[in-house]
Amino acid sequence: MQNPLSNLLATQSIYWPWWAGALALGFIAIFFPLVLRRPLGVSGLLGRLVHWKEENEAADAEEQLAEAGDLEAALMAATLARFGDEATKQPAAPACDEPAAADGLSVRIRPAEHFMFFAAVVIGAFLAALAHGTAQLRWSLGPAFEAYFGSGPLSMGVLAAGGLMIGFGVRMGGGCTSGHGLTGCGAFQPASFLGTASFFGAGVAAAFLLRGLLG
Amino acid sequence: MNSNLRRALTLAIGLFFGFALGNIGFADYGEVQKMFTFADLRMFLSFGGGLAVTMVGFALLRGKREIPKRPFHKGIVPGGVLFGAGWALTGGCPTITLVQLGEGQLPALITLAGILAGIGLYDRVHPRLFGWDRGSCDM
Repeated sequence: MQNPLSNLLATQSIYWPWWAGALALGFIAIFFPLVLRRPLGVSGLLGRLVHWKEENEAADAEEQLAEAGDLEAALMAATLARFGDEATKQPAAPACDEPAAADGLSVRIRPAEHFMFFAAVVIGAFLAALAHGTAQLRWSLGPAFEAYFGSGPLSMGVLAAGGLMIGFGVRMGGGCTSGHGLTGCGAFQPASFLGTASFFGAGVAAAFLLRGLLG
Repeated sequence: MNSNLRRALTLAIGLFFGFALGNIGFADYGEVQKMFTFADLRMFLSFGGGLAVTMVGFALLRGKREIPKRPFHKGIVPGGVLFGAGWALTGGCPTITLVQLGEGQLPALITLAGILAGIGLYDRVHPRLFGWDRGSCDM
């Protein structure tokens, strides 16, 4: 049986050696914020996509603010658009959307652009699969998944429940693998170290549990 | 930077992100399980190495500037635990479901729907049930 380190030197795998992956991920985590002036945090971007209506309203309001001279009315519009009636229930959170750009530029990215990013991720993955010869539309997550859950209704229930846990959890925790794991830990944020340890720890525990119960 | 250039760069980085994740093996459920059960350290090292590169890059870019500390809040650990468990079950984090889709793995649509529903659900209940300050950048 292979030991865990043997794949580090193997060249037969269709996947990249670890150092290539490391360089690629590091590059992305560094260049995304450098170039696009906002931190890389997919769960936050997805959140903005889910709340696309409010995001568009807020962007519209900000555009009006830039054009109109009536400062007070525009601020009120933006506040209501962003917080709705919750403005009366909780203190307004300082807006994270304005990136703390050194030159003071404040650009609100519309949800459509976040969607473009995600579409590009899908296409990029498709290109990778093409390169491996594994690109194929199929109702399957692969043999390892089906060994645990099969391919019937149970497997779909598992995915739906798992997805709910992921969505709920990343919002509760304030980040996902890119937000906490790469960006937060990359900036030595203690909160992100805690978050990353929590989700990696849970992933490890859950994987061992699954292997023990179903493997 | 003008918005067309920004959009072009967004697309380019997104493409590379998906391409890299697909090539590292994150869309392969078996590889993810190997990572989580330490049967194969390749993917852990891909991530850990990526984190190390990011740390160096950020430090160089940051120079002497102080960046504000993200606050600790009560949701970090339970949220992380839920997320990690969901990851082991579905094989993905939010980005990975997209990578699975790119490879043609259609069940990832179910996972993605669940994730979007979970996000919407949490955001609805947070002010009512929880209400702690998640900090100015809830990434």
